[in-house]
Amino acid sequence: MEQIDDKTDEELVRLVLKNKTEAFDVLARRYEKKLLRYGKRFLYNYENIEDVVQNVLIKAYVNIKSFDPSRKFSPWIYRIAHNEFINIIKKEKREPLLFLEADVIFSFAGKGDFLKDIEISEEKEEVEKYLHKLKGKYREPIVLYYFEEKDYQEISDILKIPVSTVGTRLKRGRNEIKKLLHEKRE
Amino acid sequence: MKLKSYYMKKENSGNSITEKVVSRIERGELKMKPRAYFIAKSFLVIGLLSLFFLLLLYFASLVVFVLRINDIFLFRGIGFYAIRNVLISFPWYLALLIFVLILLVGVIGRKFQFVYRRPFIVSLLVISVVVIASSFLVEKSSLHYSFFRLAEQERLPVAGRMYRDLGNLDINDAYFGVLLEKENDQWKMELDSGEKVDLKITEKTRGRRLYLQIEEGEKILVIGEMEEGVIDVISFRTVERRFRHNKERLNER
Repeated sequence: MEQIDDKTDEELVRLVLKNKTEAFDVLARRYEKKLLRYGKRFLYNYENIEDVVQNVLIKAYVNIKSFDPSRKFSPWIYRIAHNEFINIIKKEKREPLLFLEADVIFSFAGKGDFLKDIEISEEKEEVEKYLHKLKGKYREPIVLYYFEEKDYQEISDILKIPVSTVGTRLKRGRNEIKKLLHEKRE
Repeated sequence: MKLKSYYMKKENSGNSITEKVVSRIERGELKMKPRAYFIAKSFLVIGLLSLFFLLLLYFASLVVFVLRINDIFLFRGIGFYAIRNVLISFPWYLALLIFVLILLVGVIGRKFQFVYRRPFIVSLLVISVVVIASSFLVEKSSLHYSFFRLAEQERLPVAGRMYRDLGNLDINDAYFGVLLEKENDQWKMELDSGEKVDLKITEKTRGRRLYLQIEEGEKILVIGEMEEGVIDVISFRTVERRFRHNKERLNER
């Protein structure tokens, strides 16, 4: 007999919709650590990440009927987390945030804008060291791609930006890190 | 059996964020919003999108109407001076309004995956192309012509003045009328208003290749400064041969 732990996220959501609280418990446990990790890397010097993640889980439960179980759950809950994190950045005015960035309006990706999987593991540690020095708009896709292992489409759905912009931001973020690394070595 | 591992895990875990949230759910402090709430929200978004799109279509077709009713399409190839005067008289607030509406439709549309996954400029271009194509179709209907007719009869409240102004753009130094006499370089013309004026054709007059072809009784468009009943003609063209005068089509529509 299939155990509740073995169910997919989307199957768990179907159970939550039937008022099975334990299904939400399993779902929330699956994402608690991931969201904490995402929050800590994106909001690097914010102390109350636990409270923010708690709000994310609460919002996920309250709004769960807006989720379409035929789609993937992961980008949906990460989108809620993204919105919460952005609200904190706005509230604390830590970084300038524009409603529409130029790279969302005009971005057209070239071949070089898409990273190869092989590059990820080699660069991960170096990327982490310099993450906090990146602008928020580059830091977030880097966190989602390198550490949360989301693909371009998923990052596009989480951040609601064009897939080509995801590629551009990842490339620019990575180049920034390479530049910082180069400066340190010199 | 099914929930055994779930409860074992629950007992082993500390006071986690998940536990806090789940205990609030169990105490009934957190409730799921009903599906109807999200359906209503979706309807609101789609409703707003449709409303802005219809407004966009209305104003875009109104621009096409303005271009037709004022015969602005006839100003092509008649010289920079004429084009400059058309641009000065053009109701630019309509263009601004259309631009704002395109932006609004684009921004609201970003709620949908097929829109936000593409560059914003692509969405704006697609909306613009759809609106331009549709506005020519809408303009072919009697909508604006009926409103304009009612406005001229002072029977259109609210938008009456707007239709009267837009339907009678005052383009500087542009005169429609009929060529009465054609003798050497001093022609005579009857304006649409009924006023009779002289036309002074000089070396500087553009369109002189039409000079011999043009015949008395033909409808013409003349560009030039008028002083004491004499128009110093900068350029001219015949009208009826190439286009129908749209004001005459009002009764047909």
